[in-house]
Amino acid sequence: MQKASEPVRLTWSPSAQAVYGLLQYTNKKHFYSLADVMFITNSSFMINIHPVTVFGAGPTLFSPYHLMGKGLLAMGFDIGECFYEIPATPEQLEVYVQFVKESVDRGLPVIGWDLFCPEFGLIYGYDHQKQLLHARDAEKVGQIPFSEINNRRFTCIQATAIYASTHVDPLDTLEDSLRRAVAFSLETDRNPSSEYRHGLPGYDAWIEAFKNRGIDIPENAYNLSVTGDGRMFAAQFFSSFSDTVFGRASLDLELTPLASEAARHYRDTADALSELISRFPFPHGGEPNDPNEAEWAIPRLIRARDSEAKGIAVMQQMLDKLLQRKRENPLSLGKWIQN
Amino acid sequence: MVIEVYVDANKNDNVEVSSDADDPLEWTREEQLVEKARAGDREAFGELVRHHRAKALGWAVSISRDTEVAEDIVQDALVRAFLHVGTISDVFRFRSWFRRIVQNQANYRLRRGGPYGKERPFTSMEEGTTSTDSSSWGDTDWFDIDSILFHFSKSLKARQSDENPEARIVRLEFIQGIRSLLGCLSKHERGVFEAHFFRQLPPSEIASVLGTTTANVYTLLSRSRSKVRKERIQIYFKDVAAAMVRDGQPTRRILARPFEI
Repeated sequence: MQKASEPVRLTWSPSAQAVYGLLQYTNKKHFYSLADVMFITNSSFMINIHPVTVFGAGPTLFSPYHLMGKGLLAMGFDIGECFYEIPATPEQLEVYVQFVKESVDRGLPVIGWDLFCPEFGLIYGYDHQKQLLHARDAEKVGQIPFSEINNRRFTCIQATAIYASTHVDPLDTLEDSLRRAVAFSLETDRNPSSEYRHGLPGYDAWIEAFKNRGIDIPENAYNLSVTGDGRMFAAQFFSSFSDTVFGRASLDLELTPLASEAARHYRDTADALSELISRFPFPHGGEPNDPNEAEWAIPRLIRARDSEAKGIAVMQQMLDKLLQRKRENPLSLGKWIQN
Repeated sequence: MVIEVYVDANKNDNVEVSSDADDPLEWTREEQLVEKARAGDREAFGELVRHHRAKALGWAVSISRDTEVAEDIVQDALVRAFLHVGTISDVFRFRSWFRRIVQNQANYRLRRGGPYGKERPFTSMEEGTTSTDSSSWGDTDWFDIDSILFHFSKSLKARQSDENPEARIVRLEFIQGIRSLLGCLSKHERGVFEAHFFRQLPPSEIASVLGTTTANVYTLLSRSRSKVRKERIQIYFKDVAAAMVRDGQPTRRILARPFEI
């Protein structure tokens, strides 16, 4: 239980936190833990590094659909979004507020970008008499007047809503989540025009940056925290796999030993990153551009990368087993509802 | 309200009361009228109009060389004068103030014929008067204000020939709409805002008329612009809320706070 005035930081991934927060209003709240949500949204595997500066924007350079939408679909939710560039016209704002209203009238908040801090949060109420939205993000609980919706930090407003919760086979959820995790980690889905590198090549970009000594210090520290936090949750997810909805649904596939192995690798990755976080803590960030410090850091990044590579290989084995299973129905997840 | 003044002014078309700038008694009387008009007294404004109408027509004819066009110019100028009489800072200078409005109005009318035909949208006026960095003034949300100004820039002739009472009501609502929109501004902000957007004065001139600095005018304009923008949203959502109430929809619902359930 958090007090209204206090920040809520359950993870360094605000998008996964928002999904987890929204989940609590649904009939699936008992199905998934925070570690499950981190895994299903793939936030556990987030790493996106600029090879020179290690910019802090990396982890946020993905669309809301990528960061949260795919995970919500995998959990069997039908979802849709409302998006406008700002300043939006009064007519556009009316559509946006109506989008929020319809969801709240269904008993569900929407995930909104951005609210009080430049991150995703939840809009959980509306008041047309006072012309207000009630919102909660990682930073605080508060109200946003309709006339202030245009005054956000970035160039757009976006909201994601759940329209319906449908039955989903947990093994479909697991299969989809693993497939996305492996693709992201091996960077098979890379946008060639981006300078940033994600997945395993992200570690190589990071090592490169340490060698070149042009690192932005607090942003490096931020990325270490995000990456380390993700692997910690990955280790937690895999180590408690047998207790998850996936473990219970896959007894005959004998995935648990593989999950335990994956947990070991991600624990090792998290440990290596944890050492780096102690040396380069957020926000102060230490001295990553100091040659001695860089020399100390590089072997730890290599260890993190190599352990993660082993973890990915194990995830691929789990995925292979899942793909070979005898299916009664084709893979079926939630639906994307176009407005 | 504006229409009444016009009708009033036209009724007195043949009444030629010259305003003698050299007569001290006339000055005092005019000063009082301006003071009253500024405070919202429509009769006083009507009288001022009667005093200056002939002169105004003379100015307009000398610029346009066409009595019919001059008539339109004066009528348009009067609309503006009525809207802005509250912003006159110097009661002694009604005539020169009014003359400038006529002059501006004549300039616009004679310059027309471009893409806007008979009307001149707000945004195009803005382009002509903005001399500073375009990034801060290039917002497009003024396109909506265009429709408002379109209304004001319609010639009075068109208004009078338009006898449809429904249209008349819509027009009145429109004017009230603008009033409430600008009601969010302080007196000072309103003066600057109107000088910029209705009278199209360059900021340096607004500064000298209102006795402030050009920098301050820019600040006030920027603040006013954002306040009016917000006000528009608030007024818009009042209608949305009213429609919801009419339709029996809930207007307020707040779920349990996230991370506390």
